[in-house]
Formats: sequence, structure tokens, C-alpha cells
Amino acid sequence: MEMTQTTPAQASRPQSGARIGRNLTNLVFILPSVLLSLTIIGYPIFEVMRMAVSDVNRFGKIRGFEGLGNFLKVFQDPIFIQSSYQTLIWTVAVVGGTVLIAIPVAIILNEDFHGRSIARTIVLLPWAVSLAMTALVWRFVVNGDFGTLNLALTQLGLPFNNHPWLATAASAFTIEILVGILVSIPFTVTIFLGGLTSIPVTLYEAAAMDGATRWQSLTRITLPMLRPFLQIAIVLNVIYVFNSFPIIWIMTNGGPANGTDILITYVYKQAFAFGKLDVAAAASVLMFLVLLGFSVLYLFMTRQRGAAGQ
Amino acid sequence: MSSIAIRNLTKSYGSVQVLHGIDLDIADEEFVVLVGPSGCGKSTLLRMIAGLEDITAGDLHIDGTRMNDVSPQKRDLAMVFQSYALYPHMTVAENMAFSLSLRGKQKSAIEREVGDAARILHLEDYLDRLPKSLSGGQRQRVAMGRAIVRHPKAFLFDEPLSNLDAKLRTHMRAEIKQLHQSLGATSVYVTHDQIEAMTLADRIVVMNAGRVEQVGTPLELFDRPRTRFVAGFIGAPAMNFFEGKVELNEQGKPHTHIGPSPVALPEGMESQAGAIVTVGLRPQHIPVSAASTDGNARVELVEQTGCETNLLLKLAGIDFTVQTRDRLEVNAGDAVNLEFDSRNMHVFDSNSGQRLN
Repeated sequence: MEMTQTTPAQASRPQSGARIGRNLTNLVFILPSVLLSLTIIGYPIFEVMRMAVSDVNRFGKIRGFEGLGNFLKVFQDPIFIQSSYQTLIWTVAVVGGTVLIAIPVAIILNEDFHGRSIARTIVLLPWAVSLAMTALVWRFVVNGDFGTLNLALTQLGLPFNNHPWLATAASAFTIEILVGILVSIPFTVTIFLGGLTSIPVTLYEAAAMDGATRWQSLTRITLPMLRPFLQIAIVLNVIYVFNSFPIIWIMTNGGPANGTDILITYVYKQAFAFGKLDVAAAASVLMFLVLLGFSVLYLFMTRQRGAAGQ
Repeated sequence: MSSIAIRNLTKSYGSVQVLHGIDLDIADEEFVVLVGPSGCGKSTLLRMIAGLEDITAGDLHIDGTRMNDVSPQKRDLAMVFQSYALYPHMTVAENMAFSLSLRGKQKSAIEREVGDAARILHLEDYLDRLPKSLSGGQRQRVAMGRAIVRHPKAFLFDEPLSNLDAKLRTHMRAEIKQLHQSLGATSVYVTHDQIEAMTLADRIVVMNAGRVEQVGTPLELFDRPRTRFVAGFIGAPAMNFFEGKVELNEQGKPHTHIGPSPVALPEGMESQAGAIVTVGLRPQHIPVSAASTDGNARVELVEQTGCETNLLLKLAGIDFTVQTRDRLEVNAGDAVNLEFDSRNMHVFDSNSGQRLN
């Protein structure tokens, strides 16, 4: 009995020694980037957290310890509450819309048809354009006085001459969400295409032999097998969309009357329009916590997938 | 269960023709094995029967109904794939139940069918497992179970055993044979392994370069291969071949030469004196005896398999493999005597490869 207990331990000792050595080598290799990350990402996070619990003047000078006072101010600000609610709508609508459109687009782009590579390029093209440029172009398109959208609608005989799309919060926010969906599609389609190519063709052949129609293959083979990719697409998109600044800032500045403000534009305004760096820092910390939650969820999901893959 | 009739079946990919007018009749409950080297078109033919490949020309009839334009979903055939193609997100039970649930069968009926199949294939303890936690042999069984539960018109097997190790392959081969005997299902089985073909088949279809070389029972193919290709493909170790010119002696009996020594050829061959023929002799049909110094052949290599001894020899510059059950005391470099018996010879036309005797 003792023999059997000691033997594996002895056998594994040199192996674990080699593993420690290998881990050490790995650590040395990633050390430079870890240090770089700590300086570039870690230091600002630390500084923001310090400001969040301090009394800070508009030039960034810390005047004293504030405790949770800044957080109280944030929660008492009705615009923060409104922005939080709008952030929820923004995130759910953009991510939901993106995923709903990206799945069929990816499935179509995965089919073998004439001109597929051209279609793929067109779908992925918005990725190559900066968010700020895309937002700027769409601001021009929906401009009430000289926008091409109103021109097109008017020429179709519809009563949209000089319709001010960005003047009301509802229509402005809708348009921003649509632009948000448009720019998120390429990345999401890429994730789904990766997922679709990982499904072996023989599975569809087996399903056909089993009597499955194309629709049944889609609902019972393709979609279930896309699920891990769907989860990852949702979490990653939530992380990106939640604090996506350029679209809203460029198209409406969060207006009219804070009607399209989300947390990131709220923080920006608090800091750089109103000079309340401490309140902005406190709101930033809250956002950081939300995103941290999603990041942990993402890590957990990718780990689980890796373990399942073994 | 049902019969399959293939008439002048052709397959082309663009301008490349891969199957050239295949004719084949598969009777009800028959186990037919398509065998041939890689690229001979055997898998393509099977996939055309399945409906996974379009038929370029010719006709496919199942139970007398033309199936050319019928989708695989409606042909009611079951297929076992080389990769097994199990649905990774479904349990063993769900994999087997998939086709039945697509048909809208009642839950109790599905459970009964899956239970029956699981019992036959010894999978009862694994029904709730996912395919990834099964061994290769178990996955293979699930793939078979998925086919069995449906009671299809015919089973199609596409090299189902080639991903298994040698021992498991032999075992599963026997299981497939027993399964066929108990279910009596029409089966078409593709393999490149001639042992698998010989052991499983009621009839073997030997294919080469998109054509059928010969159709026959395993022993017909072994005893009277119709072409040189079939002779070389069926049997292990492979048949020995040597080329020679047909000559007639004073009594008008045909013979040829290996090096300087004359070798009698079978009588009644369809060939003229002077024709160049290829003579085939199975390794088991060349008696070998140890010789002191006057042997006609020299041993190059000795392979012991326990039951048999394989000798790789050279005779007049020609390689021969000889298999014997005698425990010969010979080593590489020793001289031995080979005898050639014209009754065991397979003679082929060297140009056309067609059998002459």
C-alpha cells in the first residue's frame, strides 16, 4: 500500500521540477509585457481609484480624503441614473441586434456561392474604418438639412424634408444603436465564421442521411454547435459596446438633454466639461467593476472551453 | 430491406471523369464490399448511392425505384462514416435517437428502439455520455447504433474501421458480420483493406481507376482472379509475378523460362507461342525446400509470424515471396529450392492484364 502511494509521488517529482523550470522561463518571456501593462494600464487604474475616494480640484490636484462621498454624489445625480439606464438599453440593443444579424450573415457567408470572397470582404470592410469616421459619416447622412437620408426619402415621395433625426432623443438614440450594430457586425461575423468552419461537413452529411432537412440541420446541428461562440461573442461585444465612446460623442454629444448619454459620455462630461474629476473617477470605478465582472465571465468561459476541448 | 441496381453509372468533376460506367446489382440482404486502392472511386460510388454526390450519368435504382434525383433524406439509407460523424453536442442516446425524433416518432417508441440497439451493441452503460468521453471502439458502436435504430432499406459503410487499432478492427469486423447475420440487412461496405473485404463480403467488387475489375465471392476472386490487378490486390502476402515468352515444346506443351530454367505453363491457355505473358503464383503455392548448395533461389529475408514463415527470395534476379508452414532452418543468404506447379498458376496477358487460363 505504501509502495503504491510513494511510487507516483517519486515519479512525478522530476516532472514537476521540469514544469517549474518551464514556468519560470515562460515568466521571464512575458515579464516585459507585464511590466508595460502595469505601467500603462495599472498605474491609471490605481490613480483613478485614488481620485475616486479623494476631493480633487478641476486641475487634478488632490485636496483631501473624501471616502465614499464621491460615490454618494454619483448615485444622487439623476443624470447618472438616466445614463445607466440608457447604457443598459444601448448595450442590450447593440449586442442583441449585432448577434441577431451576424448569425444569418455568417451562415450565408459560410455557404459556398459565387462571389463569396467579395461578399466577405464587403461585410468585413467597416472594420477597417475608424469608429470616429463611421460616426461622422452617419452624422452627415442623417443631417436634417443636407443629409442624404432625407434626400433619398423625399425623392421616394415620403414627407421627410428637413426631418431633424438627431433632434429628438428617441430617433437619435435609435440611429446611434443602428450605427453601433453596423460597426460591431464584422467582428461578430468573424467569430461566428470561425465557429461554423469548425463544424465538420460530415456532420451535415450524417444529418442528411438521418433525414434532417436543411432547416433541421440548422436548428439541431449548427445553432447548438455555435453556442460557445455565441456566448463569447456576446460577452466580448458587451465589453466593447458598454464603454464605446466615439459613436455617441460624435453624433450627439449625449444630447439632446442627456437623452443619449451613456456612462462613458457621462464620465467624460463630468471630468472635462464640468471639471468634477473626483465624481468622474468614482463613476469610472463603478464602470470598471461592471466590466471586470464581464471580463471574468469571459475568462471563465474560455477556460471552460479549453478544458472541454481536451 | 431491399435491392440496389446500378446501371452505367458515371461521375465527373468538371472534365475529370472518376467513375466510368459502373454496373452492379446488389441483392436483398446481401453484404457487398467495394474494395480498391485509394482514389479508385469506391467511396465516390458509395456516396452516390447515399445521395451525397450527384450522379453525372446512368441510373441508380433502389427497390426498383429510380433514385437519381431523390435527396439523401428521402432514400431511407443509413450510413456509417469513417470519422463516425457523431453529433458532439448530443449524448449517445440522443445521437441514436436523432433520426427517429426527426421523423416525429413517439418518445416511448424511440426509447425502445434506442434501448434495443444499445443492448445489441453493449452501449447500455454509456447512453448518457457525450461522444468525446467514449473510446474509438465505443464511438464506432454508436455510429452503428445510429444506423440500426432506423431499420433502413440498406446500410452503407464508408471505411468504418480504419480509425481503429488492429486488434479492435478485427473484433469489430466480427461484430459487423454477426450483426449482418442477425439483421439480414442489405449492406454496401467500402474498404481498402482486402482482408476486411474477404472476411465480410458475400460478394466483393474490386475497383481500380474508376472501373469495376471483377465482382465475385471472396473465394472466386482468390482462386480465379480475372485480371492481373485483382490477382495482385487480393491475397496476403501479395501474389508473385514474373514475365515470360510462351514457347511450345515437341509435344506442343507451353512453357516459359525463369532465367535459364524452363517452367511449364498450364495447358489450355488462350495464347499463341511467342506471346508475352505474366505468370502469377501465390506465396502459399510455391513449395520450398532447404537445399545444400544446388538450390535455384537465394534467401534475402526471413519473416517469422509464428504460424507461417515468409521468405523473401531472389531467383534469376526476380523477387519472390514464399509462405510456408514448415519450420525451415534457413537464414538470409542460404540457398533453397523452389518448385513451380503449373496447376496453381494464374496467367495473364502482359498487355491487357486479362486472364488467359
